[in-house]
Amino acid sequence: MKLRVIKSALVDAVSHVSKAVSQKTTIPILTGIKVAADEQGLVLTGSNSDITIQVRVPKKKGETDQVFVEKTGQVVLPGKIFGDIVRKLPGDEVEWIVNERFQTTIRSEQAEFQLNGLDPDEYPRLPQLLQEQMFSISADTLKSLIRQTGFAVAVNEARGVLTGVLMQLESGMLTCVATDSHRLSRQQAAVEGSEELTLKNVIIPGKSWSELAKTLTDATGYVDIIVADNQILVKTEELEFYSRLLDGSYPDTNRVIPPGGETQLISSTRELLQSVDRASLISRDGRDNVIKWTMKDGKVEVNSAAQDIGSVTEEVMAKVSGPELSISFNARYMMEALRSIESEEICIQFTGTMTPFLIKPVDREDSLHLIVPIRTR
Amino acid sequence: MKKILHLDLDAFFASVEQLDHPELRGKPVIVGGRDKRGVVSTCSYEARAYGVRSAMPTAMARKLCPDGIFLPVRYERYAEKSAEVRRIFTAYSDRFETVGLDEAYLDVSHYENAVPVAREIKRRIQAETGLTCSIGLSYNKSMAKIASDLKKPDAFVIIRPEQALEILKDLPVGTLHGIGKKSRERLENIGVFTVGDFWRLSLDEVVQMFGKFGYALYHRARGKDDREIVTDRSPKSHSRESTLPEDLFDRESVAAVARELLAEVWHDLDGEEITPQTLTLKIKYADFTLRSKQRTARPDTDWSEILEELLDAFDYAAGVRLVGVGFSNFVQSQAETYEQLSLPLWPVTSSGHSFHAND
Repeated sequence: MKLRVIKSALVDAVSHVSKAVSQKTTIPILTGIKVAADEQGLVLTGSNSDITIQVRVPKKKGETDQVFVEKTGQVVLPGKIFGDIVRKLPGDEVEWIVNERFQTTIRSEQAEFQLNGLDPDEYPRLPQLLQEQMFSISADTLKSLIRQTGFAVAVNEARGVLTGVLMQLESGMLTCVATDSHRLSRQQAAVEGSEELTLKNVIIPGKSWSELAKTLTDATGYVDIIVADNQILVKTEELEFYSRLLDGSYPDTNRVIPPGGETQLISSTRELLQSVDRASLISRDGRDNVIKWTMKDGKVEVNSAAQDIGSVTEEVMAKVSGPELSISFNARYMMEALRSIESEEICIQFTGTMTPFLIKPVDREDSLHLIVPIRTR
Repeated sequence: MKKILHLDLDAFFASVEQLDHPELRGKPVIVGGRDKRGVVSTCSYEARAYGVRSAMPTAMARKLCPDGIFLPVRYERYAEKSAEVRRIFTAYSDRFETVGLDEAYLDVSHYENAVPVAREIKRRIQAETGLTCSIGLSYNKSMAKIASDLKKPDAFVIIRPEQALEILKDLPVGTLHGIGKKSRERLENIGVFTVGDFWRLSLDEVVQMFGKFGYALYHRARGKDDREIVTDRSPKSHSRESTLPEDLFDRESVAAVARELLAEVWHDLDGEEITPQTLTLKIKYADFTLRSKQRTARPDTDWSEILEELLDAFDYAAGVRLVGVGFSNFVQSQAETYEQLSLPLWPVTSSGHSFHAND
């Protein structure tokens, strides 16, 4: 293998695939990054067996030449050190030679590195996914779906499927649900694909979900999503993101989402968020970060108290309808939900003091958060 | 690694009776209420052979074991023997927790090898009190208790961490501390008979069935239990007192001392997961007569105000030589009174603190 590549393009590609590379893996070769040079350019792969990220550096980007391959070939290089080297190379261009024993020379201006590479045939093969279950979605929509659900997954591994995000597709409408059983977030979005395509019980590990968002940071346009039995692939023009799926069946969350509520509150998302944030200054060190809301005519009264610390009270203007009601909940759950909402006004519906309540943006139907209250004595 | 020893006196009440009445040895002895509605407290192993069990109505025990010797409960005598046993094991560790008269947990982590210590405790109890016991030695409370139960009576069982899952797997699920008859029946209805079967339930399912306690149960079934030994010496009250360098004759001078003492006691309570409900102010006069007054109030009370009220209730003209301030009547701290509710996501017959939103 012999080639020259523009350093900035290589740095970008390496930083993408590095996200999937872990030093803590049971398969030693996965601490490496696989590099393949072919007629189309350069392909880098990083994997930790849960997630695999593959990035293509094409020969040309627009009008600019990026890669000049003189001789095709493949090699696996130690991931961490290779990444560090590439980032610190002095020149704008990198010259790169790999011999038959996978010994690698990386040259840029005055610097020349020699690295011992590994046999690429030892590197696990990527899963081959059938294109049958495929749909497309705009990258921005996908990022927003992730942002509005990812925080609600369960963190503790003992929680099984709840550590993942449920993805379901029916009649061109994609629904993502995440819950740790104390709160739940559900987002929907229209996708492009066959109307007949139905997906059920696709559970993506929460970690993959948030990693995907990072990987897609700069992505624009549309991405393709392909779902197989135990893998999901998200594809952009230059990037492929594979994740394993979680086994098990996700519970039917429709059962636990109340249809509405008698007491209803409409207020400014920002003002509510700021008041919850302030109130939690008092309670955040407590185990449950409890704050209390009392819905009154024209306002919400926000209270929080912690022994040994003190207390806080404030009022936020709101349109309140239905019976007066007091409810205590974990401030963190509320802040995470409110932060993810892009709309200026939200509507919150309560069914009782001990029952879950719904948070929805006023101007759209595709977004819903639910928080289960805290019982106080 | 922690080393916890669980000590369980075999058929304790009945054994004490057989010890005190040698003619009863080898006979079915049943100790308990003897009137119509009485229940069996403890029965000897001879009586267990007839199917008699603790907590069984005495009337039923009589049917099962007509030749049984039925004796009333002599609580004081048992407490006496229990204290004898306690004197023995407390010599080995000051971190112990007694459960009733016949059970105790002992933290023996400070021994390099706790096995000979356990054997010694067992041998001494038999030699010095005439009672036999079963001892379980393991790496946490729950596993130590399971170990002591495994081969009763007169047993000594060690469970090492690497053996835990293998041993737990085939035990009846009712062996787990906290699964009573009702819960066992509910579990059996969903096909859970052994601890191994119980492993199939997810954390959420267990929590939904057992409420908050489900968290502990889920982990205990996997041999995990991080409960600490609650030493019996946890105080029933917290107090501070101060003998004054010279007698004081007015409220304000005494109040200044009392306020300082209150602050110190309050500080003592820091970090303890308990909140007091009663404040006591004690005053010893120059003639050594002692007076104390107390007020009980809600846990979130401002105790400095209560102290002022108590101070108002004393007379200072006789001269004060000692002031004491103490808290008692503790409840679990405020934090314990919150409970995060959960969604009933899993279709298990629930009894916990969940609800159905669509009900």
